[in-house]
Amino acid sequence: MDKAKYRAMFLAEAAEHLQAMSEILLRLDNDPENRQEIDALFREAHSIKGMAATMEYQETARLAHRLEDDLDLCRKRGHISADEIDQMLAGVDLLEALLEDIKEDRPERNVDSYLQATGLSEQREVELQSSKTEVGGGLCSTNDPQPILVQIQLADTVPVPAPRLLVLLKRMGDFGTVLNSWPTQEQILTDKVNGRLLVQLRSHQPAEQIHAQLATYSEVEEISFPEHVASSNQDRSVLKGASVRVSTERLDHLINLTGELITTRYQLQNALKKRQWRDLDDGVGQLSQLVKNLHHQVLQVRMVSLQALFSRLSRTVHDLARTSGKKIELQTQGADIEIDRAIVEELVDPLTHMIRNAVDHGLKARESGTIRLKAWRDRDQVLVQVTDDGAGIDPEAIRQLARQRGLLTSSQVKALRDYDLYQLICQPGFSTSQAVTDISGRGVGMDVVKTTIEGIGGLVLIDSNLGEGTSITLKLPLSLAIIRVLLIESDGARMAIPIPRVIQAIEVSPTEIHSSGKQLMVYFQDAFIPLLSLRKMLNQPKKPQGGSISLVVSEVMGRRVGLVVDRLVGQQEVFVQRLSPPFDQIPGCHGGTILGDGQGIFLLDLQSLLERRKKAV
Amino acid sequence: MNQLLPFVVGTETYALELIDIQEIVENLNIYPFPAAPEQISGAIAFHGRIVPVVNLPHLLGFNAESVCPRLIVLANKYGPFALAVDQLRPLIGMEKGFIKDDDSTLKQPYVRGVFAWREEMISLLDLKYVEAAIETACIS
Repeated sequence: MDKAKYRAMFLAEAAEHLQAMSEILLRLDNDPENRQEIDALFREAHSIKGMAATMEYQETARLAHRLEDDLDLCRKRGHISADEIDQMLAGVDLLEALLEDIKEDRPERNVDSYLQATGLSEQREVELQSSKTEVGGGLCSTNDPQPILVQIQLADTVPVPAPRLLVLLKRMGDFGTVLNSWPTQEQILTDKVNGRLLVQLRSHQPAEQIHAQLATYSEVEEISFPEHVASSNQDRSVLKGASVRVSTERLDHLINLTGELITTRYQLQNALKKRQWRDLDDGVGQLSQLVKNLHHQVLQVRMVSLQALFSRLSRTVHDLARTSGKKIELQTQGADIEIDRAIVEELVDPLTHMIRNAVDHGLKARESGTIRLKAWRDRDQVLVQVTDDGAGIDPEAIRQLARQRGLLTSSQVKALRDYDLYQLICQPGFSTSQAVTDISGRGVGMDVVKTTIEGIGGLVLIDSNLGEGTSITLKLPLSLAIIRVLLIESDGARMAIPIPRVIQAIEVSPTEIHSSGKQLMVYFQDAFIPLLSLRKMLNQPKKPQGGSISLVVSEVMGRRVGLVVDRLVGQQEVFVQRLSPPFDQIPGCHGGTILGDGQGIFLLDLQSLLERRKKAV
Repeated sequence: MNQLLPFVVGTETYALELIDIQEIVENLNIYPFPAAPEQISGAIAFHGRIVPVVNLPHLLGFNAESVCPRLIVLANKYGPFALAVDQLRPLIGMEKGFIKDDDSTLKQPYVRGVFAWREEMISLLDLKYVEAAIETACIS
């Protein structure tokens, strides 16, 4: 059998079965006696076993077979216990890892330790008791130990880091097998290094031992064992994939449209030959309708629902509830909302982090709580919100910390509204948590959340009520390619700002402008916000005074600002073209688009524009 | 036979191989980038695509006040992007091996080689250098 040909199909289908399994398991967690669900779960495991056996993926088939056997027992018994659910979930994780092995064309990992460590059959119950401690850690360890990541940071005082790194990289080889290193040995030899070395290592030695031996090198400032990279890659693998699965319904739509286009072409050719201008006119009208429709349908192909992402997150909540010993209820809403595939991929890490934050900080001192994950559509934006009913953020704690860290002066702290204050937790390294736990430290990751979301043209809004909970909302564009923009004009040049970045576009009269020192301010909603002149930011000549002032209220670096532009032109939907590298590095520009009249315009990126000015000052 | 397109930059004549060129355009509207470095004039709407335009005299450090209305859109493996130059000359054909490598110590880094054509000195532009120079300009 030509295995390679069927492998992609197997992987895609098996991934769907696995996703279904974890969804069912999470539902069973709340309803452990639901026979229909247990039956469905059994069927999923059975399908995987059958497929894997046909494809001769032995380990995968063995593991799926075990899950099927165990589920058969549950089925006969009529219920599934919480421990069993956890074991099943661990089995699903291991199956995912096996699929990853198959995808990467590696030999499948051995599943013996899982088969030995778990087992639900009554005969093995005694065994299970004694080996229970191994269930958590032992599941992943196969005969070959799992690769670990080791990160070494050299002290700043090392004048030439390359030879040191080379020595350290070599030393790593003594601990076990070096699978990967960043930078690679070649890069080190060509001196492309900055004193940091990250190594993926397969070693039988425990991390503490490796740490102790590396610590003997005096130039080494910091040794850490990051775990994040491996797990987040695994998280992504479910969603990512080079190919797209498209429903046959959508494909039929596309085929029908192509058929109509062909008919229209003949009509047009005919009309042209016979010089019947009226028919020609009709034909062109029809053509433009069809092209518009086709464009819409093609874009639809890239759209996926949030279902897969939400079930991933349900799993995260489940795991967090287990490790923290809290009773956490997750309510989801709007999983059927569709959004561009590329955006969903970018959402995995930020949302996982937000949920961890909610559990770790929001529900810190509580036994139980509710987390609401909600998505909805507002015109051409998608909003995704994570809400907890926990402690909320204490504005006083942030005020104090902002002063201590020197982020704001005392007077600034006083003037800042609570809403703006909350945005401060997105500043790098800003954490109000006294003890950063292994789950998360608020602030360690919120800056990453913000950077990621703004990178795809979105906005992060944080709201909180002390004692009532915290809610973080992500405002996202529907698609990365077609977005709605606000067109503005500055010194005769037209530019565009993505609508999700705009809080409001307003006109104010000169009398509404206040000044504090050199800084001009305007009263917007219930606070004074600083004004920034776009002409000044772009080094354009000053605009002659007079008339009302056009403002675009936006949020830059966590603060609301009013951007002064010459004119607000209007809104439009545009197809964004990213600039090819290295032109995409030019600060201030997100990409370009060609308007209907053939005019080229660029999308303003206020954040990078301001950062560049800051650097220049 | 190598086909070359000679063009004028400042007071000197340069050339590119025809194989590296996609199209020549003139007098197209150049839309300026919001905050681009001076070497990058902006971009043109070229067959429905946004194609950045680099002011070649400026990039090579010539004292360039000229408008550079002629644009050489480079082949797809480069970007694509367009080079704005002062003036174009008619195509010329050169036999293979028209460039001699021995005088490499004297030439500028952006010149791949120098050759004579009808008693005129023409420098063959090194596009690799041009790409690297653009990258430096964009990042700084």
